[in-house]
Amino acid sequence: MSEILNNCIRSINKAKKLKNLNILIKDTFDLALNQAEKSHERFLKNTPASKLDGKTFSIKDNISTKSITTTCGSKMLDNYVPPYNATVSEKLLNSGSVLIGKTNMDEFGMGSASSSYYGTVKNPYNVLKDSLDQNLDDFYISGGSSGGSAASVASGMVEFSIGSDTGGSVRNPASICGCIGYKPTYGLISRHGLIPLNNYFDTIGIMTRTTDTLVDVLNELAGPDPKDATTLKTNFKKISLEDKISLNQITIGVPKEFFPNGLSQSNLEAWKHSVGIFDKIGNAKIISVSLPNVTYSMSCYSVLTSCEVASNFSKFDGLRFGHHSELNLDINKVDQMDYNLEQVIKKNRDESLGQVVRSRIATGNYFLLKNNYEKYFVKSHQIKQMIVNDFIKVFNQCDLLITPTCFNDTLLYSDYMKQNEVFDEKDFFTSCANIAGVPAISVPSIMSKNNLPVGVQLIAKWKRDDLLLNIANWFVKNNSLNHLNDIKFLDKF
Amino acid sequence: MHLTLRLNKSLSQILKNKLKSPEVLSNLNNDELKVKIGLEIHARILSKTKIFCDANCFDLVNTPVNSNVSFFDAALPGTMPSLNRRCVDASLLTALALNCQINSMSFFERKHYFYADLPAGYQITQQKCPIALNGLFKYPVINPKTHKLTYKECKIMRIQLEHDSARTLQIDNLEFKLNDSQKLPRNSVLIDLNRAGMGLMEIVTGPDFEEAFDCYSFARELALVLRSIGTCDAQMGEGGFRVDVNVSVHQMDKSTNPPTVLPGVRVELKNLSSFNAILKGTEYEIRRQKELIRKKEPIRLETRTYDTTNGKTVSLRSKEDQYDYRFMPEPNLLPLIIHSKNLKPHGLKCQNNKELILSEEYLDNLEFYKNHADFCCDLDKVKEEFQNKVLPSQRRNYLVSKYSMTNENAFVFVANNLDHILNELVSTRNKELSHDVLRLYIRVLLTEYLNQVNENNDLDKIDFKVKCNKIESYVELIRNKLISRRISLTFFKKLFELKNIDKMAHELAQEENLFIIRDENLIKKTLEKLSEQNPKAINEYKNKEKKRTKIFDFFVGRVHKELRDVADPELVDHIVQTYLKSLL
Repeated sequence: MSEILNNCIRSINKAKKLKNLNILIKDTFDLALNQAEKSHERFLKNTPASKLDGKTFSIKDNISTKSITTTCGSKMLDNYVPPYNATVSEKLLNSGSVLIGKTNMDEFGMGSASSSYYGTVKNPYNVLKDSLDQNLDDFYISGGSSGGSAASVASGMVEFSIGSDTGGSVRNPASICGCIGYKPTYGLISRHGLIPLNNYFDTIGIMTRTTDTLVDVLNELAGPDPKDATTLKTNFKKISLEDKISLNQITIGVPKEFFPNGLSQSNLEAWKHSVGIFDKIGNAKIISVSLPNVTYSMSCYSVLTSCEVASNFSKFDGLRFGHHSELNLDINKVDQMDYNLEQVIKKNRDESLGQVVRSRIATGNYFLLKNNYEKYFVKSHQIKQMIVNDFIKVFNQCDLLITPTCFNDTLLYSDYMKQNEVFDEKDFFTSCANIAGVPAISVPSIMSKNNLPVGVQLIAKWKRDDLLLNIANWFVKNNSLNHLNDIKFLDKF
Repeated sequence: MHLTLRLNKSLSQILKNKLKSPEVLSNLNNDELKVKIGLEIHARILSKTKIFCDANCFDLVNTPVNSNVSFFDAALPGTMPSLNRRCVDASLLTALALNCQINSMSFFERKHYFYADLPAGYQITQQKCPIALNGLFKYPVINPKTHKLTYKECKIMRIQLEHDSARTLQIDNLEFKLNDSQKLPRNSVLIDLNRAGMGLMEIVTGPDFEEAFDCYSFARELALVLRSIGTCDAQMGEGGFRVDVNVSVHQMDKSTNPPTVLPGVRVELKNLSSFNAILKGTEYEIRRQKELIRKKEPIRLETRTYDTTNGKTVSLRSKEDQYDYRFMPEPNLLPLIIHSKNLKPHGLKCQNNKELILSEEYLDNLEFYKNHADFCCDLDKVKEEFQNKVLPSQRRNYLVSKYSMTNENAFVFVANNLDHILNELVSTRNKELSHDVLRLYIRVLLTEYLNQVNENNDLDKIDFKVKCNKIESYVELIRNKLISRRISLTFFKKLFELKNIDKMAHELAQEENLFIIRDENLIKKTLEKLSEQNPKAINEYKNKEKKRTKIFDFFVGRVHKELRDVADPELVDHIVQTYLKSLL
């Protein structure tokens, strides 16, 4: 048996073992074995399709995969099978990577617990605390919305996962699950086929355990796409990680706005620890900087995202695809009913969209009303521009920003359920990077007192993904936290 | 010279109708009312593919339903629009033809509403910042009474790019072979997505028209212009050119100097299926509103359509509960940059929405984009293309100057594309034509050929060159007086029948023995035979002087009939005359 086939079978077995964690919405084991077989043949002929040939991966379930259900974690799309591949899916399948399954997520990416119609993703670190066989009453969440992707990588089920990041949906679960989560510059990777939340902020994100794999995946995916008019037009120059990088000439900014009241102890500790590594080991210049408008990020983010959701979700009417309440309609009864198009659409949507989704649609439509447009939508775009300008200014002073990824400690599911905020004011740690369109990455920093991983976020200048990834690579190598490559602790199960 | 104008016929019909209803004219003092009419035209862009995807744009009539549909047209989640450059070029050409100001930057927006024919729940259109603004369009009007041609002007408010919706098929109108399990509920609608996503130019005029006939003339000229520059086929029947008419009749306040126009109520006429429906519907709507004002009844804000069978406008829907379309910029399309050496970048200000749509990369690299064919449209190139297009007014001027045609004849020539034939026959083939022969060509085209244009449904099936050859051969026969004018129309008609497609005029004449007869003996013999058969008529001719003209006509007619109408009319007249006189 070849290494590639073994690797694939190991992945599948792990996925089966970890079924209780609700990581996958749909597995693609048959496809995976088939792909691994072909990959093995290519290696025998010494003609691998790419650096990723034979590597196992998973895709978040809001990224279209031809002939494989793409549900967005919603009842609305429970039966939706896209007839086409997203650009990223297409590229990865062509690269020879082996798809293990589609990962769980918050419904349409709205939320940060990866809790959906298909269950809630449990943090793989639960296995350290409890037995997997038991049906846990309570458990640590995985963050979100790409929690399934983060958990699939952190648990060692796959080598990398493709998520999506609109306000931190890749970086937040990466920090919580203890893997690397990277959101590229807006437009670096094609969004074609990604079912949108907010078209201005959405990016495809990559999650891995090593920076090397991360760069390989990015090099495969990045570049202009005629199917996505918003991709960067300049050709992508492949990124290579420098073995030896000197941080002497690098200035790292610590934004003072990121010290709000209530920042959890573990996140503060992770932040300090990471700054210390850059300072002590890297000998980088550390300065205090200010992004005065980032605290408005969440207001701007919530208005714009609601508006986009209201618009983007108009197509979910259940008529051409998706949930239709009366697909097998009794004709004779219908004739007596007052049955019209509006009622059909309303029924389809009411039955299949969650509370959070419907409330965002309602608020978005409210903001877009003719009389409210200037007051909310235009104003939010002006704030967006102010935040963009803040980032432009701050990167004249420093090369990189370092901030916490998350505000809170990792929550237990029961505590998460007690929250009832749709948008958390403190989410601006990650969402400000989406608003500005700049690249950001969350890398594991420390283990908390509860023995749960905590990440730290690095943000670079627009289109300086190369710098960001090189410095992240340096950080991972110099940080004493080396459990990343050693996931044997999960293998005992 | 004979002028057969279809449009005038329909107009005089309407004038007659108007006179038949006396209450309209007698009770209204027209000075106190002002009519304002504005048009909105949806012109489908002639292009190979749709405006935001690569699905084909074949003609809708002959394409099976739901066959030219991309995933984007069906609004599958995750699909994104990508702009078709041909559609941009076409709208720029149109903007040049309508003398519009071109926005160096425009952008797309989403207009939201739920309707079965709108898969995405929104239409991508240009509301705040369209591709072109502030145009001026000159169009010819043939005065229905004097038949004189004058030019009028109309302001063009905007040209905006957008995509078409799907087509709704009402189930009652269709016969379906469905088995029981497929039975559909009553009032079901079926959706054909072939039309969804086709590129449209919406052309909006100012409220400048005061008469229905001006709207009609404008629409016809616009259709002609779009066809000339190849941006739209302007086929009304297939929905390629849809004209909505906004009519409002205003009362005037004469207490002020100058009198002020009081606000009126705008009624929109939609789904007008032909140019005639535009004319008649608008006429009717003006009368209807005037009538309501006279009776002091309110005019409702509504959308109406013209019912051609009953000759009335009927209400489609009320507009009183105004729908909020919740416009927002289309986030998946970049702003459309039009670059030109001569275009000042003033358009970059683009009102207050610049920030909404420009990414940082865009602002940074604006200069780079301007010189990069992939990201912006080069107006100078389109201008060059435009220079090579011949507009209807240029064609008319050419006819007037080159052939000394009247403006009115030139108008008919261009409206029916007769000038192409004339140019081919006269300029390309016969370098030196006498004035008389030229007049002959013009006459033949305006009568015999125009008759074919109006009546022969197979005319389009005949190749242009063949048509020209046939006309040329026909004129040759006429010119050499080889065919009797008594059969010229029927002969010409026969010449353009499909079964005679390979035959030229002389061949047809030969085959059917239709050449003119100038054999005096034959005519005389025929006449003598006829006079023997009709002794009574001969006697009357001799004795009753008053009846002589009638009897002369009788014999002329009989001779022609006997000789299948092909005898030389002058010769027959002469021989009959001589013969009858000799009897006296």
